[in-house]
Amino acid sequence: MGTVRGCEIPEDLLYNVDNNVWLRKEDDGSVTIGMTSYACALAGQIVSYTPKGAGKDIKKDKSAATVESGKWVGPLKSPVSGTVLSSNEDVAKDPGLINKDPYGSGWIAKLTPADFAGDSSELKTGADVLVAFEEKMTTDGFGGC
Amino acid sequence: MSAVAQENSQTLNFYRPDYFVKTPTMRSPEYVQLSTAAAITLGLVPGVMHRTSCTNCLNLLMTYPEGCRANCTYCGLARHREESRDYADRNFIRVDWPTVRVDEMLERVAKNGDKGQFQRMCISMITHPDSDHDTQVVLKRWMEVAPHIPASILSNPTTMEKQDLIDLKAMGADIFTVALDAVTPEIFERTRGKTVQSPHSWDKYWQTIEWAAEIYGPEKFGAHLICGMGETEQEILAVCQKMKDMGGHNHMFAFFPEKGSMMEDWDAVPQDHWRRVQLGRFLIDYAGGRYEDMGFDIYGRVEDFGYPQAELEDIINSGKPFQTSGCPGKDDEEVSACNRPYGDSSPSDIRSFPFALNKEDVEVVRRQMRLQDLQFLG
Repeated sequence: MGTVRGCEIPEDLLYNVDNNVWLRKEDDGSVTIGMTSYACALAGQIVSYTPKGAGKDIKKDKSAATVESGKWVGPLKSPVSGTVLSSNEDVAKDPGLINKDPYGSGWIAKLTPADFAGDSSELKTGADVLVAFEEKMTTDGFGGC
Repeated sequence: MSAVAQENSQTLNFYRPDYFVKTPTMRSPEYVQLSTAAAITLGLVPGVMHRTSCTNCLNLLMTYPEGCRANCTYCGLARHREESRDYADRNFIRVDWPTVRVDEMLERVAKNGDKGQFQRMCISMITHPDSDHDTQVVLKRWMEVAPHIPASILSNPTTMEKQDLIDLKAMGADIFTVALDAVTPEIFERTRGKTVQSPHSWDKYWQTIEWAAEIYGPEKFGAHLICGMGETEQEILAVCQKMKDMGGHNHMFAFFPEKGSMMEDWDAVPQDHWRRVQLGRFLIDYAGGRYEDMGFDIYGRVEDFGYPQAELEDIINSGKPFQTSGCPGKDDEEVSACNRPYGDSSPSDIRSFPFALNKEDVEVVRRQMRLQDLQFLG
């Protein structure tokens, strides 16, 4: 597990660093997306989760869900275009799961990607992503998780 | 994220509420609590806030392991919660209030940790035997470090004497406000009085407002009022006019059903009700409007603001009436430095805007003000 300024950044996932979201390609061709631990630290305790419904087409970098904390509300921007397969019922019952386990049970949405090969070429992974997040945190003036 | 940042085993500089660790013993005047927004602005916790990057007022809260000894029905710090959560872990106006060592807070302010954002500091007293004395200690220390940032006192005056107000002013307090909160004697009694085993009295609060008017003078005192605890629009605007006529200002909060409080099952104040009260308050405080000129229906709802329509439109379009109200900053006396981001609502349903409204925001507010008409159309 990679760590940047105390924030866990698993190196085996794909990331859109600017939008602070991760993506995991599943064996069946679908993708799972969610908030990074860095995004969770910035937002604070998530108290509300409003996902797009199953069957909804989402363009790359457009909202797959709206999440809200005490001081912030905003979209979880999908790193790829696709169709929503499912939202997370456990998170709907307990939005705090996003903070507790952002890369596991706190996932945001599962999608069938429209053009995974094309969209994913811009995403970062491995050692590169740790460098990219370090740069982003410097730019953001972020002290650490 | 670390819940407890410890410089060494002896000195705890900062504590963020965490139900999974034993709450440390922290007591004013060595420690104070501060708003989450202030903690973000000072760099004590990471965070982003919706459409605003900072708060312009450093809001501090006296803190004691025994907690506030009052039992106000709408407050997350109320005494009745002492069995469920340690005091420093209780939420207060929507979100956690972390605890910081006063030395740490002052050092960060001295080093410009707020990047020049703070235009005011406010010490909120609580109902505790040591709160009056310790407020003076914290104020004195503040004036030694940051006299260029004016200080306000938000009092709960049950234990205060007139001399306390005089002493605070002599020490450098710029503005003195009273957390009246409830605007009729009946609502005050059932939310803050003996009815709910709380020690506050309507008469003592108003006596203190009169002392503040005498000691601090015009524009330098005020009252916190909460809209939506059962009073009518007419009743709360009558109190606004009374405060204005005394020379003071009104700092208005939308009632928010605080989780864990005795009023957690109440609804938040309706949007149309709240917007009309915000506008009426602004007209009274800053635009020469008068309660006596306003018209109300049989339910006490504002029907007519008694104000020239063209000018009223300009004031609504400015968005200022719908921004957070409170003590002024350095730029615009009609806009509060104490912007309290999302202190009385969620960021997705804003009651008090902590930033200047744009045209779309004003249009949303206008629609909200018309809600009552729309509901009656069907």
